[in-house]
This record gives sequence, C-alpha cells and structure tokens, in this order.
Amino acid sequence: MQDVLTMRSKLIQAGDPWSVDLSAYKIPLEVDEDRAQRDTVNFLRRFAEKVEAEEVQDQDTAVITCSSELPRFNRESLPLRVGVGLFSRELEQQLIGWKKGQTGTVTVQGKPVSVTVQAIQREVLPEITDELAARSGNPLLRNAADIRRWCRGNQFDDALEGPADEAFTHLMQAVAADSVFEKDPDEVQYARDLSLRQANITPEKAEEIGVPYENLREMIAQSGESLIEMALLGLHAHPRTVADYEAWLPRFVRDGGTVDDVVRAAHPVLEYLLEIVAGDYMDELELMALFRLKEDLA
Amino acid sequence: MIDFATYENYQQLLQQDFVVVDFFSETCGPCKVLSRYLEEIAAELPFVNIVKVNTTAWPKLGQENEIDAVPTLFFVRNGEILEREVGLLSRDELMEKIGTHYYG
Repeated sequence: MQDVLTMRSKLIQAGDPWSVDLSAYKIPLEVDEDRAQRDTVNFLRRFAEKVEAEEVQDQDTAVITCSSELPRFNRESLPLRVGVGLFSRELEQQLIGWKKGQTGTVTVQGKPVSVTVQAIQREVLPEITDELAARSGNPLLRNAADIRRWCRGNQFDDALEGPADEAFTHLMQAVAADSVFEKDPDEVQYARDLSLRQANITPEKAEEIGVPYENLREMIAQSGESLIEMALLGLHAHPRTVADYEAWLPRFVRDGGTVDDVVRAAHPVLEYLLEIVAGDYMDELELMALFRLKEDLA
Repeated sequence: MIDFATYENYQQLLQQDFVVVDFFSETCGPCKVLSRYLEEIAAELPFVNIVKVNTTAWPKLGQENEIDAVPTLFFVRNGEILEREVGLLSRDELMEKIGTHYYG
C-alpha cells in the first residue's frame, strides 16, 4: 500500500500556534434550551422502539387513505408524521384522537376530505443511560453524561461553522508564515496545477469577478501551494504514520459532530482553536481539511 | 432508513418508492452537517429512504452521476431523479423538499 503520508516536501520548523491571537473570532455561545431539547429528542429517536397504537397522537406516524374533490387529497396508504405538516398540517391536526380503523370526514381548505386511519405507529424514546451510550456505537459517547453534552453541543456545530472556519484559516496562515518549509518543486507544481484545475477559472469568470485573468490564476495557484504547507503542518500535528491515519480517520468520518478528548489530545493546534473560539464546543471538521491534500497526493 | 450504497447495490436502492440520495465525501465539512440532518430526518420520517453514497469510496458512482461537488442530493421516486440539489441545505429546506417530492 502506498504510504499516503509520505511527502517529499518537509517542515523544517513549525510556527507557534499559541502565539497567534484569535480573540477576534470568539463568539458568544449560549445554549438554546429549546433547541437542545429538540436535538435530544432527535438523537433518542434513532434508538426509539416503534409500537402499534390505537389512537392518533401528535408525532405519531399514521397511515391513512383519503378522498376528496381536492386532487392532492386522493391517496391510498399514505404515511404521515402527524404534526410535522409535510403533507397537510390542517389535516394532520384533525386526526389527533382518531382511532385505528376509524373513518370520518375532516375539512381541509374549506372542503370535506374523507379519511380512514389504517395504522398508527408510535415511537417510545429510550432513557438516556450509559447502556444507550454503548449501544449508540459512537466511541465519543462513553456514558449518559456524554450523550447529554453531545445533544447540548450539537447546536454549536452550525453556529461555529463560519467563525471557526475563518479563525482556522487565520491560524493556519499565521502558523505557516511563522514556519520554515523545504518544498519539493514537483509537489509544489502538482498542488498549483491541482488548485487551478479544481477552480476551473476562465477569462470570462475572471472578468465577472473583476480581477485580471493572470492575477487570478496566480492567486489560485498560490492557494494550492499553501496546501502543501497546511498538509505539512497537519502531518506535524498528527497523525505521523499510515497506521495512525487509518485508525484515526474512520472515527471522524463515522461519528463526526463533536469534539472530545481524543481530538484535544491529538491536535494541539485545534485545542488552542477550541479554547479561543468555542469554549468547550467545537467539531473536528477543520482537522479533516488538513488531510485533503494528502488524499490528492496519494 | 439509511442505506449505504455500493457500486453493486446503488441501482437497486434507487428503485424504492421514494429515496433521498446523499453523495458525500469524507473530507467535506458541509457533508457532515447534512449527514446529521439526514440522520434526524430518517428517524423522524421512517417512511423516507435515505441512501448515502461515499464518493471517496465509490468514485465511479460519483463520475457516472456527474457529481461535481459534494454534498449533492438526489430526490428519487421509483428510480426517476426528480431533482438534484448541490450544496448544503438547512434542515427546514431539506424537510420542505422532502415534503414536496414525497407528497407531490
């Protein structure tokens, strides 16, 4: 197998990430309790037991057959998540309290709709327990407390996406500028070509953006060259061997979403970023970016 | 329900009544956000089938489906692609599209 971590370019001396000021990127993170509650329910739903029910309640999945002069409401064996409103919130609300097998008429958009409830399925959400954490198959969730933390932290993944990306870019550029590299000309050329190929820039696009074509090409090529630096800094941080890489990457691919001690312990640059930008919350997406070039070079 | 496609089972998975196909890559940040939304939706709407295609593991599936960027979603009914959507959607946008295509 090809050693995907082997690059001919070398990092002679890594810049110091700890001296880079990222305070401008810090954002306030306050937990939205309603969102946290929704995220908790969404998480628990993955492990919910489905049981047959006799009477429709909000959030049940009901299978109905309906007929009406309204074309949309002529359906057979149509599954609905009651209360979600994807089909018709008006119809769904009127079904609440109906019995399995019941036939009747509801009013939608002022028109009668004949409905039969064929089946009702209800979710029974599990308790948050250590056993559920083990059952989740997510190695980041080791106990009940981890699940609660994960569900509360979920909302920050979205909130951080922009600021963290900007902070990460600034951090890596600053560290790269403070580092000493010995770049292999072939790898540099490859990275420049790769970047240009991916950008697929044309004179027309350059004119549209308002930058002279050759200048734009050089900017894009340089961004490709900077990937060499990013990759080398990533290698410097972690992992160092193919075995490490193979052991590591699937965890992030499979589980995603939140930071944990593994990330902190393994990646000092990210740990710093976490502290500055996100307090206790951050995900590991940025780390993944470090590996892009290595894949391309493989 | 979420299925992971391979080159061998991809076409078969698309023949289900209604399918949302998620072309993703392992190194794509927005893909991971979208993946979380899809997991939630799979749990919330058990009658919606979700098929995930890892374009890193199955590049040929990406090429044959002309996937230029990830994430890309296909909304498929009985094997027919109703809509292609490139890029990250919000959870609400995703639900709206599923509702539109599932219920017609």
